[in-house]
Amino acid sequence: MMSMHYLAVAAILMIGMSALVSRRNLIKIIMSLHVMGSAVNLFLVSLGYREGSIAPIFTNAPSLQMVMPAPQALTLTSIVINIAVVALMLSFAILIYQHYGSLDPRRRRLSG
Amino acid sequence: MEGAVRSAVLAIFMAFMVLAVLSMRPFGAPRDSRMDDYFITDSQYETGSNNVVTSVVFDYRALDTLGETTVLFTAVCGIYVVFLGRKRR
Amino acid sequence: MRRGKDEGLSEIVRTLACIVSVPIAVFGFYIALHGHLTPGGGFAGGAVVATITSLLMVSFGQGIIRRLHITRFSLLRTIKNIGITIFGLLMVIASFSATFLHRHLTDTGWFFKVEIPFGANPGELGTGGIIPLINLAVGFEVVVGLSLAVVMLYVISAEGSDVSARKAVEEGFE
Repeated sequence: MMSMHYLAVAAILMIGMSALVSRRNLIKIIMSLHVMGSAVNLFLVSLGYREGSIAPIFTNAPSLQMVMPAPQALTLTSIVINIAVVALMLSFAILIYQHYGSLDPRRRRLSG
Repeated sequence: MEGAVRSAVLAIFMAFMVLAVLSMRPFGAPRDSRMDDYFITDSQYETGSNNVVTSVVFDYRALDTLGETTVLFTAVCGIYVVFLGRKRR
Repeated sequence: MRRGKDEGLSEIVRTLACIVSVPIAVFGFYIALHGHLTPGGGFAGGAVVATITSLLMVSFGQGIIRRLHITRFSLLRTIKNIGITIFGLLMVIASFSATFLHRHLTDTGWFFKVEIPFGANPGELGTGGIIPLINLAVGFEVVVGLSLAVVMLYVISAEGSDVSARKAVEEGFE
């Protein structure tokens, strides 16, 4: 049983992984990590979906059949932690560029 | 050499992805959702909030949200430490 | 008038950025306050308000550091500490009640005392118990956290382009 949503999650993860192992720029590596985090968010939201349901908000709700709220709450946590991690990694990238003069992680000085 | 290793890693990862997609449960039909049904039916009485997701984030799992804001605070403190420790010119 | 590299974009863009930042702040505050009725909450509203910082930094360039006299970043840090402290205090106070955060203000309070039955309703602002207060505290915390992150990344990356602005910021940090 193939589903489009799980296939989309796998495709986004593959895009992020290929960019992670093939790029030579630290900024692009950080961007690919963020893309993989977005794939995880999509996976969490699509896990909680129930057929023919609405978002779990009772304000002017047309029906009372709702999707699962707990995965969406964990997705909110995941988004905030993604933002914090990306901000910290960007500051480290700026520090590395100012110290070594390059953003290429395969340079001899950066790789040790 | 390096390109071959990279291609092999990507192929193994893609095989794992395809296996995981093939072995997932069907989309839109969760097996066990008793906890979420409890949230949906009882959150309006217990927390007085119309938005069930907000009632989960800020009431049932509020300690988790406190840790989450602490993570954001720690990240900003880390950026501040990077700012202090950089090389002066 | 000399428009150097540190003065940002043109006069039209700067004026419009100042005008537009007021509706953005109102919209973010609305999202944070109505977090228990509509989609959104403290995190989303705080992120919306924190875009004002990016907007002003893009439009004003490095001149904003001198123009707004942001030489005391301790003010922002103080607001952020206040937000996270309010959240922690609310958590501690609510933990002493019998059930965990169980309508802590609805039984005794004067503003959040409207009880709602199960089912769809048009939504009223005075519900939700302690949730709007936590939303506002988290909103403050996220606004100042993201603004501080953007400002510090900008200051770190502005190495060597404008010496006087960088020196002013460094004096403000220490």
